[in-house]
Amino acid sequence: MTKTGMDLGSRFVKICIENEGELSFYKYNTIDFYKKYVSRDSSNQLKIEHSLLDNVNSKITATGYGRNLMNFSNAEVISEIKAHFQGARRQTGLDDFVLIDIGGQDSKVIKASGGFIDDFVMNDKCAASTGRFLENAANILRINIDEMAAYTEKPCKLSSTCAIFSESEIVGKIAEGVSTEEISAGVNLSVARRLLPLIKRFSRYEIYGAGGVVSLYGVKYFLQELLDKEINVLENYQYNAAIGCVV
Amino acid sequence: MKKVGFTTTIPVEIIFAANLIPVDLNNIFITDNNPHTFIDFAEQEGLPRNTCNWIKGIYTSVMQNSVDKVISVTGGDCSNNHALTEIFRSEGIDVTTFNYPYENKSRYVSLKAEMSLLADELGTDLDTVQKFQGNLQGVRSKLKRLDELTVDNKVSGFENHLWLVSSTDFNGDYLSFEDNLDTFLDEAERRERIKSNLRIGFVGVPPIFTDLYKFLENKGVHVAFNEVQRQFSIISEKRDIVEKYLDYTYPYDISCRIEDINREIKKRKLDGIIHYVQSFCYRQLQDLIIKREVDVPVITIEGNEPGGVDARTKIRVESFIEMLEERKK
Repeated sequence: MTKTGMDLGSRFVKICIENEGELSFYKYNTIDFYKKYVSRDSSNQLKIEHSLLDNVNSKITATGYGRNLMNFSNAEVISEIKAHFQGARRQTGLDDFVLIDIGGQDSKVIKASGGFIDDFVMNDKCAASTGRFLENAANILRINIDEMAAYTEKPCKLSSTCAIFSESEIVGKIAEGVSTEEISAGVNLSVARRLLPLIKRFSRYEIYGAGGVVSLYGVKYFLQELLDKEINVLENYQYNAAIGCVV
Repeated sequence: MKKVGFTTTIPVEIIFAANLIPVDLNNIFITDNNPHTFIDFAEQEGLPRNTCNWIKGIYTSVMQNSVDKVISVTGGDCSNNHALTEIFRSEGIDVTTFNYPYENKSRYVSLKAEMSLLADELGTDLDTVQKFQGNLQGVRSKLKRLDELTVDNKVSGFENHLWLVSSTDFNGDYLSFEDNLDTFLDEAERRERIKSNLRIGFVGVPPIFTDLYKFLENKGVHVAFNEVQRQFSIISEKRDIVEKYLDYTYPYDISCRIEDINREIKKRKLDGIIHYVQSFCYRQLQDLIIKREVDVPVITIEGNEPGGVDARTKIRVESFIEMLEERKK
């Protein structure tokens, strides 16, 4: 029987299927996924449609933002922290590491030692350091997120504490005539600066990165500069939690 | 008899000795069927959104005439109480202030002077208060017994929280409080022990969430320590009323609290600590010290409004529990 790991993120649902040791990966837009592949069974419980897996019998393990809101009748649910920890262990082959995961709505740092989770932190109450803010900023600048992420020269200062106010601050910068390049660099720097308090106290360890945001050039550039340390982006950085579900 | 409201725990013996009824204003707010209306009222009157909701709850409790006089604790608790005192005075409300001394040197003398002033203000004196304090000795030692039963898994963390937090004003009547406590203890002593996989302690101000204890209990966690609630019950066995309130850790510097927390972690065999902080509270800064000085893993959770625990906090707490369980294996 194959094993299926499912990371139900705020933007994308990431799926990892393990078949005789081989991993394959799939990604769906979260809204599309819920509409197409989640239904209710006869006892009104949520169920993941088997058509998703071409009707192959597979053991499903799920994690992600939706885990407290949903209880699937045909999937085991584990915490994101555990999923990321197991995923990073498998991807790095290490027992001791620090993993930083930056996702669409949250960021987390996990410290593992001796093959156990030793400590973890998650952002709370604020999404100013996450993918969603980058998406909104790119929308305002009318460029795509990858292009925005390429800029690191002469970052302009963005000082709002709130993601929504930051957006109006960006509009203000455009009005002042600040270049798109400088604003983009400023956005990348502000995301890195907000992440810093979460990571700073773990900076003496080897740091690995997961999640869509960490792979973006500008964010990674400023994070490395602020930490004075290299961040090793995992090979399947977007699928780390899904991989952790099949371990 | 007149009702005297207060903004945080004060030497309640003074109010009783003066033949007045003590009312913890926080309890009026949080035990109301609809505490949200307290916050809405305060915000409509102009209190900022980014201010602690307990302050708004206290504000509305007073403005809606729940008490005849207010004791505002302006030293040893939230400095928002300074502004709150000023607002009350501008509204013509009868307010007196009370200060726990922050400085360590000559703390006894300062606290004694504060207590004398308060006694005088309420129409009694410290000698009368000192004589009266024996009347509360019985109920206080029964609360201690309740706390021991919590350590012994016979009383739940929530029951512990509720009894101890209510002891700031004894619901206005210490005699019937003691009667009810007798009945409760009698029943609790004969209970089966609560089964649990983990023992957790709460530190920080009492959480504003309504279902946090239930959430933890459903996960097989026993809350065997409520730091501040326990302090509210004034555990010192000293007879001198001033000494008693010097042993109370909450209003003084954090080192006394850390010492108390670490001692209880050991004694109660706690696996981890949940540090609860209130949004916009100065005590959020102390989190840094608590994380550094406390001997077991600590997770910090933040609450703003009364109501259920939000999904994100649940995810974080669950992961914390999972981590502690793995460690224990």
